[in-house]
Amino acid sequence: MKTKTGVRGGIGQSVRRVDGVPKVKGEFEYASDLRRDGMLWGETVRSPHPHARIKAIDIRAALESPGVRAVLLAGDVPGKKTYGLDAQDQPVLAWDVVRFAGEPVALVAAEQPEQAKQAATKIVVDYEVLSPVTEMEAALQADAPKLHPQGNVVRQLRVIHGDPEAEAEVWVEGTYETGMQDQAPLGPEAGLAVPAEDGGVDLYIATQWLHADLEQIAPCLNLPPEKVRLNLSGVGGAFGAREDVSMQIHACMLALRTQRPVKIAYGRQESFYGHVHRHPSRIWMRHGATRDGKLINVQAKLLVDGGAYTSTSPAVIGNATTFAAGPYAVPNARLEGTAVFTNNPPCGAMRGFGAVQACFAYEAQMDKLARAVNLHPIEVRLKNALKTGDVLPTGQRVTGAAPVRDLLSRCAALPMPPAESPLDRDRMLIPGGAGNVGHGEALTRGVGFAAGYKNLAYSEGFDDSSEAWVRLSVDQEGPLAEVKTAAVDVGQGLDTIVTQVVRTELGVQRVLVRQPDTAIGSAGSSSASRQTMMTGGAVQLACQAVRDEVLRRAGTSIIPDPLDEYLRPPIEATRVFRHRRTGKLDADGQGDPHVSFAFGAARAVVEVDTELGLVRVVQLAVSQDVGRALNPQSVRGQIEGGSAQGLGLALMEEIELKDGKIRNASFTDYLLPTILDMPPVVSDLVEEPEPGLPYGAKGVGEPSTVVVPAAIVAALRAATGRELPRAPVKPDELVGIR
Amino acid sequence: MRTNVNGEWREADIWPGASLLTLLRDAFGLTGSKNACEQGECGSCSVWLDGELVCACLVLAAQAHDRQVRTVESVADGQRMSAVQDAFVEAGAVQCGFCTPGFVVAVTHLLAQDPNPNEVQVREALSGNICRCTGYAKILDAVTLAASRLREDR
Amino acid sequence: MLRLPPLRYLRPTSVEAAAEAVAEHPGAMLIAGGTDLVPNLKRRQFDAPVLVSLRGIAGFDGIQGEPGRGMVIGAGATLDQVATHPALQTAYRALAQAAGFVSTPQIRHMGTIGGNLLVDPRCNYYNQSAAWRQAVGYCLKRDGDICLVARSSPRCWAVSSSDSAPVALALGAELTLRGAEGERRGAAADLYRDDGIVYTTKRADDVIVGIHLPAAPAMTSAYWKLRRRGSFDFPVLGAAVALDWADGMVRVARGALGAAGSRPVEVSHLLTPLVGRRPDDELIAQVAEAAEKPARPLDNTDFSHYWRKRMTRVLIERALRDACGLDPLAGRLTAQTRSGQAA
Repeated sequence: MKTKTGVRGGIGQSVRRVDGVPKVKGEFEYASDLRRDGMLWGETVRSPHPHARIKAIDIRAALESPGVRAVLLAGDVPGKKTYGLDAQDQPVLAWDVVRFAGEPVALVAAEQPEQAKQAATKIVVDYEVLSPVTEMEAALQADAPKLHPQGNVVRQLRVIHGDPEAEAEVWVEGTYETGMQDQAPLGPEAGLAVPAEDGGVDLYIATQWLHADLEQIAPCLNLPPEKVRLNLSGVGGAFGAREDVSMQIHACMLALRTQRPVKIAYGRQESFYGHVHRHPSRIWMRHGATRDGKLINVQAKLLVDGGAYTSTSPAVIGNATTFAAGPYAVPNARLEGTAVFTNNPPCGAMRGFGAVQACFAYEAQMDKLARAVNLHPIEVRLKNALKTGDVLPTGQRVTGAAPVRDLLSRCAALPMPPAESPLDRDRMLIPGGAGNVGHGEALTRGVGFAAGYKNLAYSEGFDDSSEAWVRLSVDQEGPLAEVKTAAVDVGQGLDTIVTQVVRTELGVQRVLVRQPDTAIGSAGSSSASRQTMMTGGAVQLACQAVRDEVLRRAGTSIIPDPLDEYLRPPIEATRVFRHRRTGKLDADGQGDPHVSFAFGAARAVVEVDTELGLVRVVQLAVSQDVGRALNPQSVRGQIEGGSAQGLGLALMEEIELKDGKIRNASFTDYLLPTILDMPPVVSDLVEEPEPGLPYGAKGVGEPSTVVVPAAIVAALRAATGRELPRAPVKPDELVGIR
Repeated sequence: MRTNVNGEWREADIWPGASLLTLLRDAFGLTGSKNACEQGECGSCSVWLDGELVCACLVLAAQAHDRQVRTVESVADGQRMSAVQDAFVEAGAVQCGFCTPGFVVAVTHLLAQDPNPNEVQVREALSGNICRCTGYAKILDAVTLAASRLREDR
Repeated sequence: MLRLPPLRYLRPTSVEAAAEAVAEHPGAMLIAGGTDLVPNLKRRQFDAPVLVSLRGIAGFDGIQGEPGRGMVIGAGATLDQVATHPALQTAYRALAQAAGFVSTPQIRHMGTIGGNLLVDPRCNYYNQSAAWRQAVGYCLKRDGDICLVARSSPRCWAVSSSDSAPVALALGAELTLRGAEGERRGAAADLYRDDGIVYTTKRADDVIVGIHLPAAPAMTSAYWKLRRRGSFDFPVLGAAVALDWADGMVRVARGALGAAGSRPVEVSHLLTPLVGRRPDDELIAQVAEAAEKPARPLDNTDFSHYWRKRMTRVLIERALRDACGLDPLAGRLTAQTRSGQAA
């Protein structure tokens, strides 16, 4: 699709971000920057106990506290008492029982933020502390306390493929674990709720899916959907943390009660308590292969900790289980996945969504297999690589692009970092370098590979869609295209992609992207690497409808130049894009659950100070299957950022729980990689257009996060000879203490 | 108390426990500096205090009395972006943008002190600024781009 | 939001006035850069109704003298000033290194050397917000009755987390303090107490005025810091050594460990085998192994304390090799447990 001659910045070009200028000037308004005259500040009271019965709540002192305008409890929730994504089991405010440390119990609104905090401390909750269930296996015991009426299993599924008892000549086995990672978007949760004259409420919010929020908020407020209007404010990153409702219902409740605007803004600590985290996992796997390394049988048991409430655990374990055999052709498999409830903080969406945990396990297994059959890690993967036409363990045939062999070969061939003498280099560049630790002979280099894949968009029959409105008009400067969707740009650059699509489809330079809100139909979630596909697709359809009308008015079959005279009156169109239908899994995990896949391969080069167990990642190289790069610079940006989050999981990021309580809810102790910890990332884009997706473009946000943790730990194993079955890896393990 | 903010003396009657960040954002409406962690652990509130690069969240508003503060809002020349700001946009160093004001200030500070830093020096100078979106790769590209443009202009 | 508690902020213009202000207001605390104090106040780790600023005091931040005769660093000098001072970088290298390793550039532009010497000892159970501590249980150091790390212990085990403190000991630095009861000068080592709560011997109204570095015409020194990331993090261990030389042999050897106890841990007495010798690989390894003994890491910081104990000897060996001009990584010791490795 060629852009009309003279129109710059269509698809395929590295167009500058349309919101870049306000962001570098500090003028871009994020949710935490929102302000309204007469606004009150909301504060949330949270349970300090991971498991307790609420016997009584005394709010009298809080009500009398200076500046307080409202104190609300569960009994004040106007409508439905619970909300949630895959199940509505999460209380807006807890009553009777609290199930995790940090669960909201009460709300306060006051004139000043400090007054709200003071009042919150005066709310006295009489808890009967109960014993928390904090271990996954304990939750599965028959005598474990039932955390929900249905018991402690959120979802259990199995995938039976071919003959699960099939014999093999070589077997390798292992049990692997990943810790609880946090999305830690820099922008903490914030929103502003403004009561409306019609008895409804307008909410200004940073979120990932306006309509999913609306669907949960309206019933809880006992309002019809048309009286709850959500407007997107600037989003300071998401990575899954904003998929679940956090303070939306709370702010609306306070606004409706006080009939004043109410702002709630979390600080960093509260943010850790206020959103879901990545599911910790324990995965047992057993791979059977021929003596030549050809996979015969993959057995897996996956266990993930869903925490206190359902959130999206069913979908996460569905993903982890259906992907558990990896991007390989496997004739026989038994894959069993279980997500459990515990009294740990709730887990849900984080970039990679179950595929990360599975990849960590299956790629460790592939390396074990490589050693067992004496093949290079790349060779054993090439030997088994999935390709278009292959059948997955779910029985789904891969019909789209699956250039796994290509990715592996290319990744392995990407330039290695120079093997310079450590004595020559700057002290900054050595493991722990900025602390003056390590340079010289104690350093060992290791190289590791990993391949993996992820579904694009939602799965198992989810009826997903996106709606777009496009308007073409003319003003004194010429033709102007306006586009509106409810799609959230979380920082990935969606608004820019949309602009590029409009330019390409309509041949118009000037494009204005309107602010998303719920006045237009749903665009679906900014997650699952789906927005370019879904909202790009909807915008494309709307543009095509507009273009058809232009051609009709002009009586031609090509877009006239100049356009101006045909744009009075303006032309508008609203269209909805849907992807092909998928299907649910049957009792044996058979079906057609995923729309499409994106594949990735990574190579990590690490240096280990073997005396101390400190690590420096020297280089990350990622080859990714992107279908078509609509904005190459943004695509690389996603790969680089996704790799950074992968490095975090591999080396330093973990929410530490003690008896269900978060020990490290701050950036002091939850360690995010700094610029001194991140290496250069070499990104390599493989463009094999995906049939059925707009422009053949695949989503790009997640695959690098899926493969990088496995690649880094593989490199550490190569450098140290240690088993390293768990991520994040600690220095103790690298020197063999643990 | 009074502080000179971006060249203008401004007064505020503030609660003594307020940080400079609170003063800038809430009292003076300068919301460019961000509040991502409030403990000096991310650099998103980086500003200049008497020409020194500091975290506004760690400075008591009272410590800024009678002193000069410059924020990200002072970096652009009216409508015209600085070379550093333009380089950030051009190099693709802005994704969600929450860390961006802090980086703009830190990079501007670095290049004013050292117009030709090598990669290691750049990383060290930016070691107090966290980004969650970019993996820092394009931020480094932006610094290289800005430095070369500024050297050309000299 | 973490907000500071209500407080009064006083701005005296002399050390005497500052000391007086602290003496007059019970619970008052001194603040210079505030980069350690302010986050701790936000987490309500102290009650400080009054803060007495040292920033308005003229001449508080000068760095004077020269290595041949000794130097004086004003306690108000920023960590950045100390890290980048040419004479300090050469003659008293460990101190410049230590200052340069603290946190981030932003913090080093505000934080002072005096403040860093006085960094509040840290612990996983203590350096948390008020809400967290209320949920988990208060500890001996703040609002509680027992140490949550060593439950049967009558004392607090919070960890000394200053990078400059062990270096001050290793360099044989002296500190001048001026307070309501006058001025005195003493060894830096005498400033510290082996307790996580009352961790200094100075009174609240004593102001550290200057850090005196002895004449060091022939001294080499090194500070090695261990932490997880390349910036931000407090030391998980610090090893500071200083060697005076004569005729190519060690004349005096001093050392101290940071983050190995509630105060900087003196190890100079364990370095004496180096005196009168030209240290070689073997000797340094032996001395390093002995010098780790006083380190007593507990399970109250990042990293497992088993690992921190095992790698102490390695870090000391590296610091010693560095100060002897040998390749720090070519030493004998390792924290590894693989059989066959020197352990």
